[in-house]
Amino acid sequence: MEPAALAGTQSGTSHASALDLRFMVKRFGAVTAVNDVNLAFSAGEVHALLGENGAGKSTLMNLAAGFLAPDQGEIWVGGRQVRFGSPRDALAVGIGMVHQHFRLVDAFTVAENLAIGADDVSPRTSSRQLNKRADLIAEQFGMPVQSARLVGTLSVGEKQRVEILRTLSRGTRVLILDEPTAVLTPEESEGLCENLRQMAAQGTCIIFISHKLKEVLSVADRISVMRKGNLHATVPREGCDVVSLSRMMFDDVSDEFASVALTPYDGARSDVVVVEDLVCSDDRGAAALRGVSFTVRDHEVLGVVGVAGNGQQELEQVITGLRQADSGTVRIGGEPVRDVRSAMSAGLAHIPEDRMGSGLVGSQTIWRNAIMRNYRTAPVTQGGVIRAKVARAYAADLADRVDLSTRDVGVLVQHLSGGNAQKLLVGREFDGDRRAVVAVNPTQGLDVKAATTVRTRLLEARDRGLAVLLISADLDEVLTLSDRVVVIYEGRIVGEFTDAASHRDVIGRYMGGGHLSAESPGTSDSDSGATDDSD
Amino acid sequence: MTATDRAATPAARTRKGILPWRIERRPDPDRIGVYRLVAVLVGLAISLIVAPILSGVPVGDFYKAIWTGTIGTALGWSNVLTIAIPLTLAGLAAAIPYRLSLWNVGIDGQMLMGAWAATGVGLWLPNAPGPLLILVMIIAGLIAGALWIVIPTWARVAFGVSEVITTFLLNFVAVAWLVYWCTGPWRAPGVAGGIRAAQVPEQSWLPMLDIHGAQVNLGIVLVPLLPVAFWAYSRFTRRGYEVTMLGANPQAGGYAGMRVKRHLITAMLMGGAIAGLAGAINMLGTSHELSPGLTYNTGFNGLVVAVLAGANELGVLALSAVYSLLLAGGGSLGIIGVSSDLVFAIIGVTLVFGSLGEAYARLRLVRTTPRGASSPTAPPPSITPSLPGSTESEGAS
Repeated sequence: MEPAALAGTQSGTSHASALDLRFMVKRFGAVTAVNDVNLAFSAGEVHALLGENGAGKSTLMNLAAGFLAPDQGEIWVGGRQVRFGSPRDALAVGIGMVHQHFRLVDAFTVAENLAIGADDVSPRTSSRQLNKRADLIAEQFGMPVQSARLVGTLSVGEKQRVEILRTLSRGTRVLILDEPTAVLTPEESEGLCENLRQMAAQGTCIIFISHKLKEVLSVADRISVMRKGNLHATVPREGCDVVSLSRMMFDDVSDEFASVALTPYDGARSDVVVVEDLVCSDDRGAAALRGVSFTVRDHEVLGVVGVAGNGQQELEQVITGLRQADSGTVRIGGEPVRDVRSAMSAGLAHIPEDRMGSGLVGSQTIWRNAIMRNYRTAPVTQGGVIRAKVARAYAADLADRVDLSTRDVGVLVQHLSGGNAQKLLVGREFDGDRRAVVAVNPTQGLDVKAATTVRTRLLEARDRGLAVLLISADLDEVLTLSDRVVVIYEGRIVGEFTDAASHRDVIGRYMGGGHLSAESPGTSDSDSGATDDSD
Repeated sequence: MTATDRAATPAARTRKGILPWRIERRPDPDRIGVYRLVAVLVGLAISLIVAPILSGVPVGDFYKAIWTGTIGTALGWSNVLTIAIPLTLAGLAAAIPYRLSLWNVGIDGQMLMGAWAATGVGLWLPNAPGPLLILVMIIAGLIAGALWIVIPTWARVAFGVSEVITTFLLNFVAVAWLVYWCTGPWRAPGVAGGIRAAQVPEQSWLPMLDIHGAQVNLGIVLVPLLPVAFWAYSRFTRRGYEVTMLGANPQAGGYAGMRVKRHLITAMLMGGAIAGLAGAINMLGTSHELSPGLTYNTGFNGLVVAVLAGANELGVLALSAVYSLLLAGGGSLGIIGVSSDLVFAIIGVTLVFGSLGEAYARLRLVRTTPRGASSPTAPPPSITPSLPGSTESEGAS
C-alpha cells in the first residue's frame, strides 16, 4: 500500500513540493538570521538540516511552521502560496513542528494530551473512547504509547513520542523536528530514527534539525547545510561522510572529535574529589541518590553516564553544594563541601547544564557575569564597593583569553550566541586556582566548533592537573573524553569501566538497567523489583 | 472517530488578520525605564488635553486651577513637595523588595505603625528636647515599620507563603490597632468627632523650610537623598551587585554562592523600615497627630510608582515627582468643583500609558503584508484533501 501512496504524491499535479521556501529572509534587529534561503522539501523524504549554532536552521523552520513571520519570502505548500499568522495556520495545511521543549500537559493522560485541539473529540467523549482513539493513532503511526498513563510520569523519550503523535494526528504532512535526539538515550534515538524512516516511507516529509553528524548520516535522504543564515549546500546522503559534512559546515574543523583526544598520563594520581555513600532525595522527597561513592583523581576525567533522571542532577547539586545530602560526604582536596561557598573555596569549578538558567545572568552585562566568582574579594571589591574599572578590565582580559566574539564587556550576555556564552562561563570557571571541576552536559546545544572548544578546555584542565567530573548524556562525548566511566542508574553507580570506548555496548545496556537481568534493556526497565531494597 | 478524519480538517479555520500589522516581541528590550517615563508624560499630556472638555468647568479655569495648585504658586509648590515626601519614601519601600520580585503591599500599614511608634515615644517623653525627641521618634518609626513586616517575611522565607497576601492583610490589622489607640489610651482630650490621638509635643514637629516661598517640612531633604543613596548602594556596592544579579536570575545567585534568603529578608525589612520612616515623617511633618487615615493610600501609590519605575531608585524619584504633581493638581481641581472621578481618571490614564510604555519597549509592530503580496492568511482550502489520502490505515494493517 505504501508505494501506492507514494506514487499518488508524484502523480499529483505537476509534482509540487510538500513544502517550498522561497527567498526567505528573517532579521532580528541588526542580525540577519535567515538570508534569502530557497529550499524545497518533497513528500516521503527525510531531510536533515545541519549547521552550527546561529546558522539559522531553527529560525528557518520556525518561519515554515508559522512560529515566526518572515520579513520577506514566500511559502508554498502543494503548489499554492500560503501565509501563516500562527502555528495553527501552518498545521491547517499540514505543517507541524516538534520543539525541544514539549508542549504537553503533565497532569493529563497520554490520550487526553492527544485529544487537545482535536476535532473528533468533544467534552462528552469518554476516557475509554479517548484511550481507544489514542491507541489507534499510535498504531497508525507505528509509535506505541501507553494511552492511560499520565504524561508527567513518562520518560523524555516517551513524551517526545506523544508530542510527535499529537502533531501527526493533526494531519501533518510535513513534520519538523528541532534537534529531537538531544534529549534521548542512544537506544531511544535509534528507535526514533527508525520511526522517522517509516513515516517517510508512508509519504510524510520529515525535516530533521540536528547537530549530530552521525545521526544525520544514518537517517537522512538529503542533507542541507546552513551557514550564517545562508543555505550553503543541499546534497544527497550518498557519498557524504562525517568529514565531508563537517567540512561543509566549517572550513576548519574536519571531525567532531578528531581534534580532541586524551593524552595518556603516567604520573601518580591522588584523590581530589571523594564522594562517600551519598544518599539524597529529590525535590519531591523521592530517593534520588541511594548510596553513591566514587573518587576523581587529579589529571583524570571521570565520566558519569546515565539516562537523564537517574540522579545526575542531584549528584551535581550535592557535589557543588547546592543541595544538602541526607547522608554521606563530599570532600574536595580534603575539605568537606557544606554549601556552595565551601565548594568554591575548595577550588571547585562548576559548569552547569543550563548555562543561561543558572551559570549566567542573561539580562546583565558581560563584565557583571565575568566577576560572579571573584567579586567578593580584592581587587574587584574593596571596602564593600565593586570597582567597576577593575572589573571591566578583568572581564575584557577574560574575553580576550577565551576569544569571545566581542570585546565590549558592556554587552548583555543574552546577546551572545550559545557558544560564546559557554566560552565566557567556562573561562570564568577555570580562571584562578582550581582543583576540580564538575561539568554537566557542557556541550549541549552547541555547534560542533564551539563544542570542540569546550571539550578542549576540559582536557586542558585535566592536563593541568584538575580532577574533572563530566556528567553527560552524550555517550560519545563521555567515551572520548574520559579516563574512566561510571554508569549511574536509579541513584546508584552500577558499573565502572576503564577502557570505556571498547565497552560501548555494555555501557549502553547498563544505562538502560540491563545490568539487572540478562535480557535486553528497555523492555521492562521500570520496576524490576530487584532495586527496591530500602535504604 | 479515528485520527484519519482529520484529513477533512477545514483549513479555512485559520485566523484572519484584519490589520496588515502584528505585534512581535522585541528580542532585546532596552531602555525600558526611558520608554516608561516618556509614556507617562505622553499620557499626562493627552489627559490634560481631553479632561478639561469633560470637566464641566471653563477650560481656562481648569488649567488655572492646575497651575495654581501645583507649580504656579508658592502654596501649590508647598503642596506638591509635601505630597512628594511620603510618596517617594513609599515608592522606595516598595521598590527595594521589588528588586528581588517581592511585593510589599503593606506599606500603608507599615506607615501607620511607624507613625504609631513615633507618637508613642512623643507622648511618653513630652519634655524631651526637640532634636533628640525627633531622632528617637524617627528611629522608633523605622523599627516599628520593619517589625510590621517580620511575620510576612518569615512566612515567605520559611514556608513560601506569598508576601502579597500577608503584607496586604496586615494593613487592616494596623488600622484596627490605630483605632484602638486613637479612641482609647491616646484619645485627644476635648475633641469631638474624628478618630485621632492627642498631638505630639510641639518641639517634635519637624521644622519648616522656606524654598523660594514654598513652605515644606524638613522631611523634604530625604526626597532626593534616599533614592540617590539607595541607587548608589545598589549600583556600586558588593551587596548591591548581589541584589542586581539575584533579582535578574535567582538561580544564578544561588549558583554563585550568594545568600538568597538573607537578601530576601534584608530587602523586606528595609522596605518595612522605610515605610515606617515615611509614616513617622508624615506625622511629624504635617498632621502632628496620629490618625488611622494618616496615609491617604500613599502606600498603594508608592507601589504604583515602584512598579512603573521598574524598581529603579532614580526612577522612583522621577515618577513620584510626576505623581505628586498629579495629586496636587487633582486636589486643586476638586476645589473648583471638578469631579474627583475625573481626577482619578487623569491619574489612571497617565499610569496606563506608563505601563503601555513598558509594553512598547518589549514589543513592536511588524508589517505582515509586504507591498504587492496577496491577502493575509487564507491558505487555499483545497490543499489538504489534494494531498495523498494520508497514511490512512495502511501503516497499521
